[in-house]
Amino acid sequence: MKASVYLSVFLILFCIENIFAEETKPKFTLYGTAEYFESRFVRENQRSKTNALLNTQYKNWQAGIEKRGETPLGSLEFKNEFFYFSAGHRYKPIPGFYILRDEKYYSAFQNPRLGLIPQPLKKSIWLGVLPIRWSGGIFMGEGISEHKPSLYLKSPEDIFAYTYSPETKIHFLALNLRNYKIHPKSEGEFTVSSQAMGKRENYYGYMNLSAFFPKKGMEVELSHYREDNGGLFVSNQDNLTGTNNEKAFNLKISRYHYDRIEAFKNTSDKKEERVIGVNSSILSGRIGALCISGRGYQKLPAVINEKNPELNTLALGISYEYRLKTTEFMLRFERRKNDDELAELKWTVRPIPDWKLEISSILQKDSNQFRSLYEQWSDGENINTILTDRAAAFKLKLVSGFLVFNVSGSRRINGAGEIYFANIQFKQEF
Amino acid sequence: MRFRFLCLYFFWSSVSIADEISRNLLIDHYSFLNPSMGFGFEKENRNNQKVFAWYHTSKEIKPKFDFHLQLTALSYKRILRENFPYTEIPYKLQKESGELVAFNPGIRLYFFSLYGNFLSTNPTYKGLSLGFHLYPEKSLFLYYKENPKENTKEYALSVLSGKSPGIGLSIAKEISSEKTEWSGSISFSFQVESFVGAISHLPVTESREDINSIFISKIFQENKESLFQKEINPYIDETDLDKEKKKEEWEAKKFKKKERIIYEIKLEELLKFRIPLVIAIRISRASKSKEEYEELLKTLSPDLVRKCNKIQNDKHKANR
Repeated sequence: MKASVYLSVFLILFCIENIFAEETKPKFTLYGTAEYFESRFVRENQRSKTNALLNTQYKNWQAGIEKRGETPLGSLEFKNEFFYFSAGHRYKPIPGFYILRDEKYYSAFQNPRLGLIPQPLKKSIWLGVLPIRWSGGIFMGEGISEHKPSLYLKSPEDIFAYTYSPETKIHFLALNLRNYKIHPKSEGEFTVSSQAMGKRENYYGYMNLSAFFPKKGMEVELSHYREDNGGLFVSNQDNLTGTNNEKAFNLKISRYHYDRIEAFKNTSDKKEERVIGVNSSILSGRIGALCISGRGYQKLPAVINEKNPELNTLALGISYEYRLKTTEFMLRFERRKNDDELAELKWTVRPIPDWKLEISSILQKDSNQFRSLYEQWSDGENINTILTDRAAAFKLKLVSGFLVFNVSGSRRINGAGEIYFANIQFKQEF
Repeated sequence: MRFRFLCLYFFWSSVSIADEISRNLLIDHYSFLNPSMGFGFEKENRNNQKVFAWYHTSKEIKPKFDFHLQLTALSYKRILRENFPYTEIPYKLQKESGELVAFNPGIRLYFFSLYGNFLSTNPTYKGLSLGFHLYPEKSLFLYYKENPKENTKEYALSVLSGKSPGIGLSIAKEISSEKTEWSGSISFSFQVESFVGAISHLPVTESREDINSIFISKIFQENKESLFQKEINPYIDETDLDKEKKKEEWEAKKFKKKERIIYEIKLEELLKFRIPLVIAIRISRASKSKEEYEELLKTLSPDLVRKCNKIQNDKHKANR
């Protein structure tokens, strides 16, 4: 009886909202993605996958039909000032990548200014109140809460979100505050970006904190990530870290970009690896800077014995770097005391507004004793510094308002094979 | 394996602490290179700790040509371990402590500096540092030392950059008759007015554990002579700054306030408003200068200010 009363009130409010809604034309978005992944460990029939979505928005409604691989799926969303409701495989009221994500697919269009394609989800249903302000509600979803509903809480402007599933005891937390200024005229910009998911004793996620003072030329970054059974980098098929359970801390303080002090610590079940270093320009000008760098590497096995000794080495690097606002270039060579060698290339450029091209590459000797630092592009705009032992790795990413293209390739050490990955995504609004 | 480790330990103990700290203090931080004073603490492990203090002074001989003198006092304590592998007591611990003074005279000419490096306890030790002051906050140093008595040599390259934050990098190659070893150090500092706090880290090498040190100093005078005048901030495009500046100037011109004209007020004009004579004289005198008049108005009562403004407005209308 009570349920029918609530349902009636709910439907009345739906109708009232729709009567008073402004007269607008429906908006259609066509989105498609194709992905290819090749590795000796992947079967031929699992190498490629596709996804196509037709999304429509009309007044307070949003609906989408899609073909994810060979499976047809549908999703529906209703949102007004008082209620939120969604069901299907695409829509959710909270920000964040990890909650209920379909691990085989991802959407690269995550910039609200250029148009957003919701992340592919597992089957779920969401019901909430006051979706525009501080809001809360319940949801059920595959793998997290199939029998009992879970709870969610969200702040305005998608800065904070939290969910908890009493059934599986899984928590999810998302924090996203980018380029925040304490006062509109103050110089400092602060960013807090974090996502974490899992049980208390067993979770994965990241936290990035940064402070940027452009006029002083100073930047401070502190980041932490924790991987758990490959959950963190699952959308990166070519996982360069090579291990599925590790956590890392990274601190970087830079002055005028070229002068940097950095400390990195990576801990896994088998060992702890530490890197501490300084990069400084010797000559700098409008055409870039000639820099030298020194790093200390340390590898501490969990059990130190004759087969697994504690290893230390020092490295000397030389690089040419260029930076002007968001345009960046770096070519760096490093030689270590133990004869390890390394070459790195990084290039980021915005040739035309709203287009961004990023290239990143690393080459190492097969016989290197220590893994090297490398920037792993993670979900969305996040970049995590990782340690990789790949003999060679190359990544290219082209981002625009309607096209995102990702290509990467890497070679494992000791001839253990090569990995190629390509993903192209497009969207067209009409 | 154990025996080898012990040998290494013993070798490390025999390396002169003084040599190492003397170089570090000379070229590893800005505050050491400018007239300053400070003190610090360095720790390798429980058995090897040092306390040090320095005083650095300079005298101008000619314009852009300075003589510098840095004195460093160091006190250390350590526990040496002497091994007796095939005896009942396999090793013996021996406590050792001592003091020494490092004497670093130098000259600075325009954007070059040259320092000598001598130790009170070890007369055969000689060090030489050549500095290039590339930018106001960036210097590059080349360092060479030799100790004929111990038959050791060392080359080092060091870069110091910035003040708040300030970072330092030093890479050194030590050559002895027994082996060649690379070492390095990094430092991080923060400056508040003339006070500098810094931490320094020397990563572990084959012959020693990692070393951390902290120091605090007060800088008396900073040298601003540099080969190149300015470092470019890569986060900001200067053409954007020019545009911003032009925009600000244009806005300032657009919304410029008309300057207030102050007319001289005669005594009789003030007395007409029944202003007391003493105050009227002060106002009349002050009205000859705009600044004095405005200062005086701040001290007067609102009623008097209103009367003065009325007189000024009437004069303004009359002159228009």
